[in-house]
Amino acid sequence: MTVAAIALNTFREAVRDRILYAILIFALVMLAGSTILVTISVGGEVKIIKDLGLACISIFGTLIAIFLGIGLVSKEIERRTLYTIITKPIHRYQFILGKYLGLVLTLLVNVAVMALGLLGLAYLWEGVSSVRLFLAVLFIFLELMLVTALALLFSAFSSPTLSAIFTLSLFVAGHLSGDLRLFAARFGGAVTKLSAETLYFLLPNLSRLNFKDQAVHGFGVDGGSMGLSFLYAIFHIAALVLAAMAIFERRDFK
Amino acid sequence: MKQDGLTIPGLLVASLVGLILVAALLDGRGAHATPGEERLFLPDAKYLKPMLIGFHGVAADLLWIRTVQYVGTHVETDRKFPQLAKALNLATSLDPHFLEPYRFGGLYLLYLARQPQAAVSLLEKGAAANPGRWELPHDLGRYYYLEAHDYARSREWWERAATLPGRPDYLPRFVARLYAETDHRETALELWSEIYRTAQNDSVRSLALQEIERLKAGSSEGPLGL
Repeated sequence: MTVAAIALNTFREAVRDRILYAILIFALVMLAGSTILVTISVGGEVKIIKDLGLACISIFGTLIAIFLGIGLVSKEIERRTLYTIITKPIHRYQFILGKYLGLVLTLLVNVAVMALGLLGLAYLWEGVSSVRLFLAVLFIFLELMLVTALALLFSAFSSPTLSAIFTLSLFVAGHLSGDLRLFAARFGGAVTKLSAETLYFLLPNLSRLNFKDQAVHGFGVDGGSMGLSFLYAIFHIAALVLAAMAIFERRDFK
Repeated sequence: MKQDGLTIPGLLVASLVGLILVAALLDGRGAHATPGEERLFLPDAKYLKPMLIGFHGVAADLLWIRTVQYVGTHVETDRKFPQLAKALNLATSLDPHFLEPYRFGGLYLLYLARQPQAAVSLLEKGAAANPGRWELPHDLGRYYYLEAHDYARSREWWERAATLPGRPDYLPRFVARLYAETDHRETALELWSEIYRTAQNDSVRSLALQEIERLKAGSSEGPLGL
């Protein structure tokens, strides 16, 4: 109950943030703009609409996750509301979990609005609804949950600016972590290889959650890989949220 | 305070007027530049793709749209396309399953840039990356039939396309004619009619119309003079 109350409160607070609406409106305008862009192309209209739509959801969703996620804890400290909360019979882990779930709920609503726009546009152009497109959006949402967990972790011990830099850097590194392993295999000695392998498993490999190509080109999706990717994201999110809880438990607010 | 209130809107209007004037002056300078002078930024796909962190599909779309504009600009000006093959190669390396740059790009390379070898390489690259799609072996067969007049290779590609799902109904008929070595003019007419029917822009449509008229008039010379 306590976690749900904090989550709902975080959600209410987030939906009052004007930056959220600015990002959402911009994303919807970009989505609608893709229909104008396709008029200057020769062929491939549906592909372009799907590509741009999925990119919009991913990019603007990441912006929402980072901008709102980095302030989850630091805002409470800055406004001194945290001191009131931690004196109440609430465990610190409940506070962190509630904050995380509240932001995930906010993201869910935003992604749902953008996804409805994209699925509607794709339906208008293709005349059929695409399950693969829906699955690609679902995995983008999982990626956003992971990015939010990263932002929350940094927010638990760092300033908003540093948290934004760290989260954004890890978002980029997460899309390149596959290359890290390749690099080590090709060039490194034993120590480099071990370090690269360790880093590879610690960094989130966000390319595992990328099913955009399958959605856009209508390729068959391997259920096993998808299921494992889903589990991979869930384990990573759990580890990050638990790490944020552990840091927050030890933090001294005197 | 009132004076300040009047000064700010005044300065704002002056800035906007200045902005429009400078923009018009810059555009004027651009208009005097050599036609088709603009260059497309085309880095190596091997290095570019990882940097796009999963957004390579969108990058391929935007590059394809930019390439179409590039072709349009040069068709209206100098009819030279020095960057076309590289742009198409990059777009198809970023998204190897995006069929339009292979298909329409192949036509542009063949009939506008007059680079048949580059067109064949592009289509072969597409056929290798998309073994389940009939469109690319079909277009290769069409090239060997209409332009290279290499009927053995044409039959080879069309036979391959005829086994793939979604292929046009006329393909088995064309293969049969190639085995019988008859009705070449009729086949060519059907092919160009199909291009005319499915053309998505005016340049391709007028090219097809020109070829249909030439074939009806009885000329055997193709657009490349082959």
